Amino acid sequence: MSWRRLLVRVERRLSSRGFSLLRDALVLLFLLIFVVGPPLSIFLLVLRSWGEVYQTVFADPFFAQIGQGALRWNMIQRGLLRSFEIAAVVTFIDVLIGLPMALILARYDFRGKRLVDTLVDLPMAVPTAALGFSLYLFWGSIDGIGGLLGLEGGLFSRGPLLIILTHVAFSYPYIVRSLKEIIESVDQTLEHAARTLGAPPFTVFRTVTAPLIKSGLLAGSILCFTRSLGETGATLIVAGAFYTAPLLVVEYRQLLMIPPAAFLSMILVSISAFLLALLRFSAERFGLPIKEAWPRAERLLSGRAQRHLRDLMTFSFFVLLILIPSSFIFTYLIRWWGGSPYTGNPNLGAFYQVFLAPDKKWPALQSSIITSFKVAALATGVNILAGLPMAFLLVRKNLGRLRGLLDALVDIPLTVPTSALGFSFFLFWGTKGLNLLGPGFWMVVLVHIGFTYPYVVRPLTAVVEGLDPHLEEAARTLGAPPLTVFRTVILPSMREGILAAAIMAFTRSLGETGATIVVMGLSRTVPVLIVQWVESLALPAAAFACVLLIAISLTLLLILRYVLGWE
Amino acid sequence: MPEIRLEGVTKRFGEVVAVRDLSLEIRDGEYFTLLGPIGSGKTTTLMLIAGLLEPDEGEIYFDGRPMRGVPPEDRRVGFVFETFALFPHYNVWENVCYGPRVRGEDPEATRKVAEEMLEMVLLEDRPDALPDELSGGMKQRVALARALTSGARILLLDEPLGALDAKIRTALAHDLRRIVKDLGLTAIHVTNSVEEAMTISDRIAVLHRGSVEQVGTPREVYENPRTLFVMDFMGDINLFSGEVTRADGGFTEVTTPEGFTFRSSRRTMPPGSEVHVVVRAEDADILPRTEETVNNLHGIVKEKMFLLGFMEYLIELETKQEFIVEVPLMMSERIWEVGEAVSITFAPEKVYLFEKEESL
Amino acid sequence: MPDVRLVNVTKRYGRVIAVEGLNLHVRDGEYFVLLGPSGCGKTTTLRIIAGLTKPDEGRVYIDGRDVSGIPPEDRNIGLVFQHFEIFPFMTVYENVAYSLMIQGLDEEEIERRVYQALEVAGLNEVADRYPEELGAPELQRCSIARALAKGSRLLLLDEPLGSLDPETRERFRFTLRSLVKGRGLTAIHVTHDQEEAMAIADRIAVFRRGRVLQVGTPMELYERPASIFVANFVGETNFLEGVIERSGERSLVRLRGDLLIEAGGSNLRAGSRVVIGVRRENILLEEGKAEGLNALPGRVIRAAFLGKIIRYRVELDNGDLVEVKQPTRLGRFFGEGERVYLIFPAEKVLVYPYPEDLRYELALR
Repeated sequence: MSWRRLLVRVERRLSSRGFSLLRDALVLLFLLIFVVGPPLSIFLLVLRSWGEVYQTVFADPFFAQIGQGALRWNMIQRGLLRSFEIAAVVTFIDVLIGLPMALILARYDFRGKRLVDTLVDLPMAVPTAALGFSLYLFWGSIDGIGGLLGLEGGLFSRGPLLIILTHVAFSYPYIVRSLKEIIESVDQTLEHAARTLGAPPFTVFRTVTAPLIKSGLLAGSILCFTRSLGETGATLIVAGAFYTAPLLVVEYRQLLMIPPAAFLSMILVSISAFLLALLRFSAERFGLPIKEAWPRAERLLSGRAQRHLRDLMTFSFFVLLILIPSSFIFTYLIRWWGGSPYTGNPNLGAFYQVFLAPDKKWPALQSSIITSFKVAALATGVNILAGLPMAFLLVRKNLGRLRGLLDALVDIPLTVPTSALGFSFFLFWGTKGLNLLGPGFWMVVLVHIGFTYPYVVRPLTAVVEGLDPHLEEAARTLGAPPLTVFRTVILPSMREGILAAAIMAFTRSLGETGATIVVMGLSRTVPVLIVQWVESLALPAAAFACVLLIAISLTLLLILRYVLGWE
Repeated sequence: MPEIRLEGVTKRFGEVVAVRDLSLEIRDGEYFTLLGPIGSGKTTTLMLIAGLLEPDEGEIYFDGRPMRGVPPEDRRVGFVFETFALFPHYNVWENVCYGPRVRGEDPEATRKVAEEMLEMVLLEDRPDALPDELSGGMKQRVALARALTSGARILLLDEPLGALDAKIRTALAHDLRRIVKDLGLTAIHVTNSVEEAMTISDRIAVLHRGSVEQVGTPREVYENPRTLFVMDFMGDINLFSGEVTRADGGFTEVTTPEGFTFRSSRRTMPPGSEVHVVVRAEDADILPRTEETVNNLHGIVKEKMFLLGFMEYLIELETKQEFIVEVPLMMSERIWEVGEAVSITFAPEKVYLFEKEESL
Repeated sequence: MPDVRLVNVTKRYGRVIAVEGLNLHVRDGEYFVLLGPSGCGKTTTLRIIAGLTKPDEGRVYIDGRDVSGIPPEDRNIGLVFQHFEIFPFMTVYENVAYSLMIQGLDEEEIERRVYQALEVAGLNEVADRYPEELGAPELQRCSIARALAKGSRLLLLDEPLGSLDPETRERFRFTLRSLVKGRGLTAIHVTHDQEEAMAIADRIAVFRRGRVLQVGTPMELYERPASIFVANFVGETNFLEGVIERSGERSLVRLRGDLLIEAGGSNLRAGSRVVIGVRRENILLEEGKAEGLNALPGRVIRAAFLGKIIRYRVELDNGDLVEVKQPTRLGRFFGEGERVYLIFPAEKVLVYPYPEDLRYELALR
């Protein structure tokens, strides 16, 4: 008997009902324990030690002496409020400058379109800590725009303004990408029909395209909002003395003030659950004035000159706010490579700091790169294995209303701020919870598995949805049992999709700061190292680490683009 | 009033030439059809006329006025799409009123025109329905009404019946022609179905690889196909090639390498010319086996198929070639059975000749 | 050798009944067509035979063997899909070889059988090409070759010509039929195109709303449609309303405007409301009446030259519209506006009771 016949025979056996039930059970168990368990169990943990939480947050005896028993509660409130304000402003700016860009990329053809398309993705390749650092150097230091304008220091100091600029830069590619896809999904013949019925382009957008993308636009905005709300790595670098809610979690955790950190994390989990619900049930009803017509005004807006102006502004915003600040770090590193460009002191240069200085930064960087890679590889591998059957479960099983619930559970790590998520893992696995694991490498791995899970399952689900079930039926009628169909037909069709999901998760893991910082022990990942070097003012060395990390991520993302383009 | 002229129009997409040096004249009030296989450039031509694409070369005139630079919204054309392209977020009424509304026209007048048009397409009782609630045929009728309320005098129809069931297709084809004629519009209709084109059109342009092969009334194009491509595209043909061996008295005789002799009275060609010989399936007849050899082929019935009003026979010739014959049931004395030995015969005026350089 | 028998098969999707109480017998070596409008249950029936859909009730027998519990991979069938479903990441050769690889045959045997199948389908030259390089007709051939290579004697075809353009589609009918006949296979072919069904089938089952209305040869369906639905769905028929005056071997029907015509046999009660059907191609246009035949006066309102036929739309003097197809070979042309008589023999007139449920579909008043 040939090996092939044997293989098919084994696969036939494994295609039985019992085995597939077992597989589904394991997949669900994985989701519950490794992904959504920790953030959900935080409510239980806070409730269990409510007395302690209450005391530290609302009635701290130390601060009560100066009549400020609820000092931490006030801080938490303020942090949350600021986070909300920042996220709102960021979302507004993003949509304002991202929508026209998405429209241009989706609907117009021009020379250099591919280049712009690639450049728009650039900030995605830059880990947020590095991005924050680059923006800080550009806007906030004398080496950046400040020096160019002849100022004594940076144009802006660290604080809310810089945070907003940073958040806009890192979320920009996500909003452009998702809006572009949504616009592309609108059948262009509808727009053609509207044109031939007498509507100038602007009217077409307002009365046809916009109404059809509004729920997508709303979803994109909410996602953008939650990302800004939860960002930690970049914010740590550009915040200065300013606190956002996720920074407070990091701060409390570092000061080992567990109860307020847990309390704040719980609030953040609740908020993100609420936003998630909003996302799922986002009402179709948010009004656009589509019944009215203003022919004269809109014809004016559709004019050639006006369109050129819009395009020019879209591109300038992109270049000035996103592109140059995000890539400024390269310029900085070149200038500071051999020594200070101002004094010529070689001891202040990146080369000396990294390779020659007595504090041995190079070995530290090396070992953190290895750690980063190990973590990312483990998280990605585990998630592909667990995510693939999950994607099939979501798409192919007739789950009914359960599907909505599972979708929401999968998305939880997407909206919970990573520092709060990380902290919940710390509680869940650590002494306060199951008491199985302390902070350290393995806990970092667990956290990374948790927050990259949706980044694997989401695209895989989309790929599975795109599979043609008839292709599998064809294979069945040609004599292949289900598992053989999976091996010979489904997997080859999904190759690119799986690779894309893997690279996405890998780069996300590589660039993550907030979640790592709250659960790490002695071993550091690169972004954490960058934050620490910036804090210790070894800026050129930090810049070197950033560029190295960017180079790695960029390579991975280029592979991703190649793979997707090839598809 | 609206007469459309295309002069030397070329449109490229990157390396691909979709429309090549195309010139056409469509008369006022005419129902004109662009007929051709997929990829022959017919939809591109329609989009060029609508202004949804701009030609790389050449010019399009409406009533003698050049259209270059005039955006689609100012061309006053009604466009009907294969996929209907109804705005899914508007109901029937809002769809139909879309054109006048975005032009800011008087609401009272719009209401009157819209009501009239909905009545014309027999949908006056469904103004509140959303597109998703309608059948394919209804959707296309709404799309038609929508194109007409915008005041279009030119109707461009891109495979308007392609997405519909056969029965509905025939009914809607009649309605289309009736409405165009009643309102005195000029219509340009794109299709790959010969039957549809012949049913509905005043004149047809047959397109092939971005160029016009022939323009004429359905009857002209059918009876005098200018090229082998047109002949093949218009129906089932039997194709042979050979050499002209005799030409006299208005007859041209062709002998093929297999030894068949064809006699044509359609065209005189000098002896020695290499030619294609074509006989339409419906121009041939089946007889009991004869001894005749000119315009007579001998074979065995291999398959028979029942078409509406016709029997279609596949005859295997002695050379193993296959020959298709279609005989109207009304005119056939008997039905031939599979396996019978028969002769195929056809009149000299039904033997078409084409120069050899042309190939399919 | 393979015959297929369906006994009392029912399939529901929620509250929607896809197929109900279906009984069918497809004989060995037969080219059988399941015909009906979309949503009539014909594809569901095919999928039940293939094992891709489980019936709620009833049994399926292939070769006399009850296959109800057998998964599709173990039923001895070849299935051809409307959209071909060629594996995109495999070459044509690999696609055709797929079922043989699964069976674990040795390379030589596989190669021999694949080339045999490719030969039959006329695909030898594109064996090493990938599907994306091929056009629809080649993909369809590939899909057929793949089903044939498996060696099944029962071929199931789901709208196999639906994705081809009209020209290719007509040519492919012959190819498909001679392929099946030449190899002595049994074929079950699903289509909504009655013309295709009439051309290709030995026998046809006409479906409507999950039930079989009539099974018969194309000629039987054409000449003796058992119901007005079949008369309308199969072929192109004119329907005119009237009242039956006299029934029997030869019945007499009074149309609107007091036009009297002789019709075929009917046992409907005199005075009852009826609809008569006359095929478009069974009517002859003449300038005058003809002895012993029905003759309805009217005026040509549209004449369309379609090549081998001329299609006329005639408005009868009573206001009813009639479509007529005349072979061009008759050599007679009537212009728009000309007065004509519609001539047809009584035995070509079908008589049905007035169908309330088909009023809109048949455009009756």
